[in-house]
Amino acid sequence: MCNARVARVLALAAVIALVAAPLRAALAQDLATLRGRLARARALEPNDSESVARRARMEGRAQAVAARPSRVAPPLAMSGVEGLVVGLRKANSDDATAIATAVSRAVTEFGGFDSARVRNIALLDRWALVYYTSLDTADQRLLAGREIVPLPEPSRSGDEHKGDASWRKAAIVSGIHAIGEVLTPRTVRTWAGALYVVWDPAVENAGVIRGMIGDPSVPASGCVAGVAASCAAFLGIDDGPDVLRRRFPSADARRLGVLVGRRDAARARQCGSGDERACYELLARYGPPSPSSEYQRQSMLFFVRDRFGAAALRGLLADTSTRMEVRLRRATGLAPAALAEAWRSWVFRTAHWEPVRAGVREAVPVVLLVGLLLTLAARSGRWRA
Amino acid sequence: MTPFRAILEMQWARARIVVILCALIAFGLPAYIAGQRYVDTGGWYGNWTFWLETGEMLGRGFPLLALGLGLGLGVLSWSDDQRMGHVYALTLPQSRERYVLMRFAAGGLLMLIPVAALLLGASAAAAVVELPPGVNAYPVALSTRFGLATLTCYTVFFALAVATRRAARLMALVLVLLVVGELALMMFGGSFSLFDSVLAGITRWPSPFVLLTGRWALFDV
Repeated sequence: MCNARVARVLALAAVIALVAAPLRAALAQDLATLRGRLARARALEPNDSESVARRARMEGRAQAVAARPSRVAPPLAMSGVEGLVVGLRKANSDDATAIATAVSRAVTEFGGFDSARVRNIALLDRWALVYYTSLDTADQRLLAGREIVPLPEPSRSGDEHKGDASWRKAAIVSGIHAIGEVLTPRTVRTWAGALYVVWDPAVENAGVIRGMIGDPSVPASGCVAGVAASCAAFLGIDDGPDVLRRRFPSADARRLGVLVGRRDAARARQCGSGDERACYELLARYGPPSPSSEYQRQSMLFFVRDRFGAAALRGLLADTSTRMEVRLRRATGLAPAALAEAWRSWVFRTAHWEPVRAGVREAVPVVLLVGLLLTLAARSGRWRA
Repeated sequence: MTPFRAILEMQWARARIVVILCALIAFGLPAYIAGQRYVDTGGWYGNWTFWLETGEMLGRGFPLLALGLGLGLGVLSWSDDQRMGHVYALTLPQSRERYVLMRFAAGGLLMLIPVAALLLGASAAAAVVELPPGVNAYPVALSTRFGLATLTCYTVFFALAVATRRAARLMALVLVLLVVGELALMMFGGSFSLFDSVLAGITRWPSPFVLLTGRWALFDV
């Protein structure tokens, strides 16, 4: 009886250890899925002047909120690290120092920017990362002359976040993203959005692939199947005449034209009724640069950094051309199709994305385990104990 | 009646509920995944992503099913002997090694029923569903992986269930040391985690438990 109980307890412990492994992998995948969806939604936003104006209004409002004196006198934490000022409500100076150090290190290590420029201009002189509603008049004086980068308050606030690692991590991530937003040149931002700066290929590239498989557009399907030209069209880095028709073949153009044509109802109706010319006009005016999302296009920048080095990415960001395909060609020296093919292979390799597999490589450890445990079980049966 | 057949019948009587239940799930889950392809989520992009994400999410059920099946078969293989104090085993004109092998083989045979059910269900699902370009179905690879994962879990629980008191005490001691070590590291503010290291070790090749991780998608690139 007692022996059976011991066996059950041991089995329970083994179950916990075994269950934890797939769940851990699942959580990482969920995060990548959510980020992919967010990027996809952003990519489908109409790129017209009203949206830009609306965004500017929202940013202005955020600045105003940030500048409004707080009713609660917050202890502003000012770190000495790199001269970065971080306005944090009810955060202690240890938190601020930790955040400033981590942001500074992450941006410097990123290698996509000139680290000296980041240190001297971004962190020393120009910027203050500020959480909304956290400023009073004393804070205002400290922030004078610095560009305020408003940050969303991490989900957990108040005294409970003091010394809280997850809160600190959220603050670091939002700080890094805010810096990426400011540093990304306009051409790159139009193509790929603000840089995430921190890119974990194993997780992020899995999201890139998942979005590509789920995208029924012709270039996406071709890229999934391994056609290099389709990958170039999918990313919007192909060149030559009729790029729009290559990126959005007629069925895709009709589908997407109606979707992005909310600002031009008459043309959207024409597009919906099968007028391809109207669809392409809508796409040229309001559509995204290619069928891929900003998130997917951004992976190309991290591929450039990974394969060709930080200097190549710095060159790409500093290039003055307004066309991404030109910037990419100059930075890497590769033609669009070759570059897209190399990108595809990098994405799949770094994401460890391989279909379910069960070959000799998987079977051998199982056979060895079975042999070992059976030998042990046969040599030490319970009735002999 | 041969001793093996008697053991097989005894184990079937004990484990049939587990085996039948797992076989039904293994047969039905691929069909359910394939059926998600035709759920209308209201948009051309949404339909595809919903299907693939749901398929991937539901696919995580396969390693859990393998774990449950292995646990059930492993523990139930010895339940009669444990209840009767191993008297039956001692009365048989068989060596202990042979008896253990027969017990293991009987459980292994029963394990094949859900594996075959999965192969059938996955093949049927792959035959009827319309796939987007570049996406393929992997019924054979999925079933084989499921079989190997189940065999791994079954072997571990089979061996645990028949472990001697000494072996049980040793394993308990290792677990306690792991917990104490982790607590000590936490108290002294170290960033190294014993649990994480052990987990990372057993979920990476050449550990056979790597089979429980990774991708289990029936439909994939």
